[in-house]
Amino acid sequence: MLIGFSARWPHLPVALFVFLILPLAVWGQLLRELGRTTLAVIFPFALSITLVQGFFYPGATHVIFSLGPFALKEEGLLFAYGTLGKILLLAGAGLLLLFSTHPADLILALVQHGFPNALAYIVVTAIQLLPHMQAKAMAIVNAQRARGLETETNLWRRSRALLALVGPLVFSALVDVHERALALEARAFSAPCSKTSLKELHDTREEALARWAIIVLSIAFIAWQIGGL
Amino acid sequence: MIQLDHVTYTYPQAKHPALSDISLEITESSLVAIVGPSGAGKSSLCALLAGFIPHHFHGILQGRALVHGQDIANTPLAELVTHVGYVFQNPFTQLSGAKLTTREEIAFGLENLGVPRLEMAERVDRVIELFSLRDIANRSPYEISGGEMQRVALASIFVMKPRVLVLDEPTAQLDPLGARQVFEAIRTLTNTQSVTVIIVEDKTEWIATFADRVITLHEGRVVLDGSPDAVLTSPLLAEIGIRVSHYTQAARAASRHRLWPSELALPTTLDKAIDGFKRARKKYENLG
Ligand SMILES: Nc1ncnc2c1ncn2[C@@H]1O[C@H](COP(=O)(O)OP(=O)(O)O)[C@@H](O)[C@H]1O
Ligand SMILES: [Mg+2]
Repeated sequence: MLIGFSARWPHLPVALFVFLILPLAVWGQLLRELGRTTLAVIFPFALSITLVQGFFYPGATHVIFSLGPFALKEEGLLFAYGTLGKILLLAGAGLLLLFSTHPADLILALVQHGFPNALAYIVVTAIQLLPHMQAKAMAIVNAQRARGLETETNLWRRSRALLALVGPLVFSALVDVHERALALEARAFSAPCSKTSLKELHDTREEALARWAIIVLSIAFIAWQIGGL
Repeated sequence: MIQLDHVTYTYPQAKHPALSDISLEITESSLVAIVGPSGAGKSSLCALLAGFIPHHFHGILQGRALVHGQDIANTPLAELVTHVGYVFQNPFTQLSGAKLTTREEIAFGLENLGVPRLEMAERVDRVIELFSLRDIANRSPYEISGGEMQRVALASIFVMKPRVLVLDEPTAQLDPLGARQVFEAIRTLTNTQSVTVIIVEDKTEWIATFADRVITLHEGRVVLDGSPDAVLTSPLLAEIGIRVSHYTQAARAASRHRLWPSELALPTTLDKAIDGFKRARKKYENLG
């Protein structure tokens, strides 16, 4: 990704997407999901950037065709292509990570490389519990609605009804947090020893090697580009 | 195993103590039930046994509380939880929230204790068998029924090998089927494993059938302590607002009309009630 961004050759980001991200997606059997989501993310960008830059790129001179006062210009299109290529690469790589790695696994990997355990726990539970908190909020809203929350016309009564809605949500969240904290203690969460893991993240020598290769290559490429200026 | 000497505990800012001058000893009896009206101090007693009082709830603790000869107040919570396991009422809030499968969820406590992977896998698989959780072992802990979730909670604690298990109304939020599954799991534990179970429960018929000892709390004090038959038929229960078994109520009403054999204690279960009424009928037939 760094390579794609720092390159001056405008085709590189697109080339990286086609020859790196897509094969990886095929390998991980994620092509359809990735393709669909990438398109959905990219399309609005593509439309607006092509139109705006194509017609209004400052200092562009090579007119391709004109439509009344508007003229589609080559430099603008090229710029749009370059930008889109980068967005495509960014979105593709980001989505690939998202689809191929569950957040819990990602965090487990981070912890095994020294990321603090408690912090990791907060991140994972936030991701995992969010849908459940939403479901609970909806259940309370529905329960209050069933008691006529919206049929009240008087403003004072309505605001009181709203309070009746917020109250249980906040209260149950507080009780939950408290009980959750105790339940974590009961599972020895604060035991002072170093933790182990049931799940094995097999990090083979090849994978470690690949990681280092990527880092070294990226640094080398950026250095080359900057030096080439 | 557990010894309380004149323990009194008051929550921060509370006017009255939640536990008042409690002295009791729990040895190797396998199943101890705690009953009492709401606010009697049942959960507070559980919290004390697990060390949440005084390590999590501050406030004023007087008297002496020992688990395995160790003073609860002077032993770190992280160590206490390996002696005394705690299962809460709400199965949902007990899930760690960090695990994708039931099997990993059960392993969470062992991971925190730093148990080596091979031993951990072996212990986890053993409790999965013990609690019949194999079908849901690879499912998400959030996509199972309440009864299953509570059994996972039980397994997640039991896998840490506590000598004492404290269960605070473990079936209160479950439907009848879920409650029955959890009760069966508890029976499996007390029948096959050497662990002392202390359970807060209001289903008196169940207690009468399976408990070895019943402790009754009222306003923070122990008011009755003894065998299920003795405690659960005490007239005091109704006075302090504890639901008494229908069989006991029926027999007490019958005895006022001399329809219950006077030499027999009041029944706590259906079987005992039927036996008593059969004996009463025989008496009448002999008379007539
Ligand atoms: N966290 C707390 N802070 C202050 N007071 C509490 C707290 N928890 C319980 N109490 C009080 O302690 C008493 C006993 O409560 P509890 O042990 O929860 O009873 P039970 O479980 O038998 O219903 C009650 O008067 C209750 O209001
Ligand atoms: Mg309680």
